[in-house]
Amino acid sequence: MNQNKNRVFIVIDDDRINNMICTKMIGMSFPESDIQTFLLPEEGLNYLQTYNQVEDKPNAILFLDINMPVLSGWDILKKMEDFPETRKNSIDTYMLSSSVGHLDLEKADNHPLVKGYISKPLTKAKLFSYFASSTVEEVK
Amino acid sequence: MWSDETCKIYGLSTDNKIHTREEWEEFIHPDDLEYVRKVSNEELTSQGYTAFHHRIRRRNGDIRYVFSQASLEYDTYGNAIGLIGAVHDITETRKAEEALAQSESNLRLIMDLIPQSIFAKDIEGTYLFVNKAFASLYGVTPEELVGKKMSDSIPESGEAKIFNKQDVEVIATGNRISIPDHTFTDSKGNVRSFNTIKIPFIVAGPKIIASLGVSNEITEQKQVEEERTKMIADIIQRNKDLEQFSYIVSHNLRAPVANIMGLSEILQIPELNNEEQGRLITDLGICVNKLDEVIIDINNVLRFKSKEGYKKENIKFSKIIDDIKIGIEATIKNEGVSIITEFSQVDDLFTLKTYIHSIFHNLISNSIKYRQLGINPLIEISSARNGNTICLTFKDNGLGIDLAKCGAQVFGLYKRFHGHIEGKGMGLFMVKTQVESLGGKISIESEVNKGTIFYIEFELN
Repeated sequence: MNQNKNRVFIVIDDDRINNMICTKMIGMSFPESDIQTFLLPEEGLNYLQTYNQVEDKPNAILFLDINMPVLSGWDILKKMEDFPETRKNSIDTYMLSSSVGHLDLEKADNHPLVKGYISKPLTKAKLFSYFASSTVEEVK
Repeated sequence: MWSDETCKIYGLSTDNKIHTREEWEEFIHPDDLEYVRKVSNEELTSQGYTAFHHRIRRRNGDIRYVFSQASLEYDTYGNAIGLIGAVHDITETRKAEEALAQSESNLRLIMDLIPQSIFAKDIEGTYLFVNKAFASLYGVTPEELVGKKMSDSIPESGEAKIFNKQDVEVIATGNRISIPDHTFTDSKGNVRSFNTIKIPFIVAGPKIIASLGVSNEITEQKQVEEERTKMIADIIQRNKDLEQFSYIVSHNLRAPVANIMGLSEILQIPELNNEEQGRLITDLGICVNKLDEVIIDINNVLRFKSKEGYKKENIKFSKIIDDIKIGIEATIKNEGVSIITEFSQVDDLFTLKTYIHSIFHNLISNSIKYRQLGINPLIEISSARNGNTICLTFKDNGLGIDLAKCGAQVFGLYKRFHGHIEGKGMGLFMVKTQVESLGGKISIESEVNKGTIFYIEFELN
């Protein structure tokens, strides 16, 4: 669990309640992590554009909603493709969507910057299955 | 005295070679007799020589065509003393000529009967032969067209040049060419489509090489094809819209459900204090309402799509705009909205009033909602009639939408383009749904920070 200490979680979603659920779930699962939530996708993108990884810290985990006005999750990913390699490599992106359509899932699977697709809601169980086991492995 | 050959022609035995003029006249076809008597008498009297074509009838009834010549014989004093005649049987030639003429007229009959256009032209573009179907394209008879030049007959000079180039190619190379689809402007100015084959053709008589063509009209076929292509594209589009609709519906139904699931998981944590619990329950209520709202939206969309429970009536655009204005009087006053209407050309339409009301209401609300800061909203609505189409133009000076970026989604359900302004992303979707249920079409032009124009078209039946 040490690996998750001060780990950065970023949530970009225009749904306030979802962001609250994410904050709560992450807070309960990884109590000492740093959680940034953004209701406006533009602000989230700004944050990503200036995000600098603290040395020796694991990658930031980005939970990115797909359906958002003006700037969709896919639009943000497109912008992220132009990031410098170091910044790109310091953010692990997971699509977080309420959509259950296979098209979004396929698109996420095929996107080089997307590590996974998580169906809403984000729960403790999902967080552990994605981020605790890998930590255990890293510790080993 | 008759020669052996003459006896043979007349079908007589050579045993008796002496025949009188009276006997001879008996052989002459009764229909020709008068002519033969007249010609032979006149010519023999005036020039001492005669020649004429006529028919004879042998005793067995056979008819022969013959060419008879006769000249008077004179003594040294210049007195006529006898008649020397010669006869040629031209029945076979005559029959061949008749057969040829018959065959030509048969050919002509066939040519004029078939609906395809047939024509032959020389290298100069002069018509050597045309059938009725071809001449009718020019509004004339074949006789009127033959001998004329293409450049003087085709209304569209560009077409004449193209056709002549093809003819020259066929004549020069001796190759057949096929033009699968070309246009021809007929004498009435209608642009029609044809499929044409041209081959080299030797003209009987002068033996010059011409270009023979057969044209098949495909105007109607092409129209049907175009309509079918359009229809298929339409169906594909509708299908895509439906897929998109079900995708969006499932997504938007799932969003509040997912939140409810998340909230209820958090609510199960025993350490929650009352304040936190209260907040979560409030949020739970919001999610449930949201879920209900989506279900009502879907219900509305489906109801509008099916047009259930609505009856067409005569509506007046001006009246509907007035009604909407009264409904949003306060907003109009507060935001300084001007709505200018121009319905002098068309003000009436037989349609579903609720739909037109809803379309205008949505568009006006959008224009006000997405106005530019510091500029009083100006909405201009006009109608025009273009043939069988009623065109409504709806123009505002609002924020506009970046169509290059969002064009494909403008009319999408739950699609929003302005993050800072509250909106469900239902308005334009409903407008499009309603316009289409009324059999109309809607299109958009927009420039960011300039404004938006919607064009709505309804076909009159």
